[in-house]
Amino acid sequence: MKSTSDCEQLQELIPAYSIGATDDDETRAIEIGLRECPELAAELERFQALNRALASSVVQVVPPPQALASLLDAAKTSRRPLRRRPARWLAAAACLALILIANNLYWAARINAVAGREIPLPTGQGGLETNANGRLIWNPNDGNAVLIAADFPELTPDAGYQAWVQRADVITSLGVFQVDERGAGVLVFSSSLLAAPFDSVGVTTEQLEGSPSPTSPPVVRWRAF
Amino acid sequence: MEIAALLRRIEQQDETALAVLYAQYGTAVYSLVLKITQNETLAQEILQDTFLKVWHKPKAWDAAKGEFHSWLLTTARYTAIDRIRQEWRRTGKDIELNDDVMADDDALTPGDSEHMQSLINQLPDEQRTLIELAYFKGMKHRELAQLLDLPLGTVKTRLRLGLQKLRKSLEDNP
Repeated sequence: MKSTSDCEQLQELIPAYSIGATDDDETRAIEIGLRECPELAAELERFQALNRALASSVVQVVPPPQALASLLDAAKTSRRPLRRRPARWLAAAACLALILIANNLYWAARINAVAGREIPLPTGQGGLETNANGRLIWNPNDGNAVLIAADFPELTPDAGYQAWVQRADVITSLGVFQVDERGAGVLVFSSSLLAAPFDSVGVTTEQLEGSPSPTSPPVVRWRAF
Repeated sequence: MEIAALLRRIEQQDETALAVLYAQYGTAVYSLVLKITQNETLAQEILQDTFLKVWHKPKAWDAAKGEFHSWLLTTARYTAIDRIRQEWRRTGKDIELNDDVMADDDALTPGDSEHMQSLINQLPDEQRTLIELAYFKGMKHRELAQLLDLPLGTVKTRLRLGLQKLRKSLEDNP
């Protein structure tokens, strides 16, 4: 058990410990002390707020838009196997699945195009001179949808890109976004806008604040048929 | 969306949830690691590594030990510090005392960061320098004493006093 004076000595190191500035021997002593001196834990808690404030003290800089696309690519290629609980009915279920798969393959191929969580946005009529492309990913049940643009032409400062979803003759805006000098951009919007079946999704060049309806051919476009 | 719900979706490998998490915290993480590394390429790599850690281990965050935001920034900070230390070892280059990325042209309106920076700037230079080196470069007591050619006791006292003053300023001016 540490004496009061030991605890007081260690307490002097808590500010530096809270930001990871103590040497290894000091760190070990504090970590033992935290178990034996209640006042150390309380002091550390008070300095945690400072730690958070220091992390937020830097000027905020938006990462380049292609960083998100790289992250999602890396996540996709490093998917881990989902854990499955072994069950006694597994064999029976597997047999049933084999029968169903044959029936479902055709329909799955049809449905995935619209009900899936990701669709590609290939170059459209308005982007023929470019390699503009995009991806749209969303959770069909809830949350947000994300449109990732790549290789889009850079625009003048008074213009922006606007994404649209079309259902029959009704065209709804999904939002306006900008791209960086490399043509990369990201638009996050509510996935509820994609909840109902739709016929196409596209991105057009519009005025900076957006337009009520598309005024130019789509730079990228996905069509259901 | 609540962070716990997002992490549950990430556990199910929902990439949209990862993108949403990134949309919420990507700028804060990138800003911090850019300040630490002062290198855009390295900062982007660390940004990705930080979010991939969440992707691979969404249960690593323990709500009982603090807010997700703090945990994520701490993870990013130590990842960045490890990387710059590797770079120092590899290149044999010493730390530069005056390097800074605060004047970046792409910086957003500072907001909260401006308030905290003004509190830091009110500290005496010798305390401010120690705090910045310790926090943003991950330097420890002995390393600071060696770098600044100061007695170890002086470094410990100045760092402690600076952090105590800063905490007091923050409490008085939240």
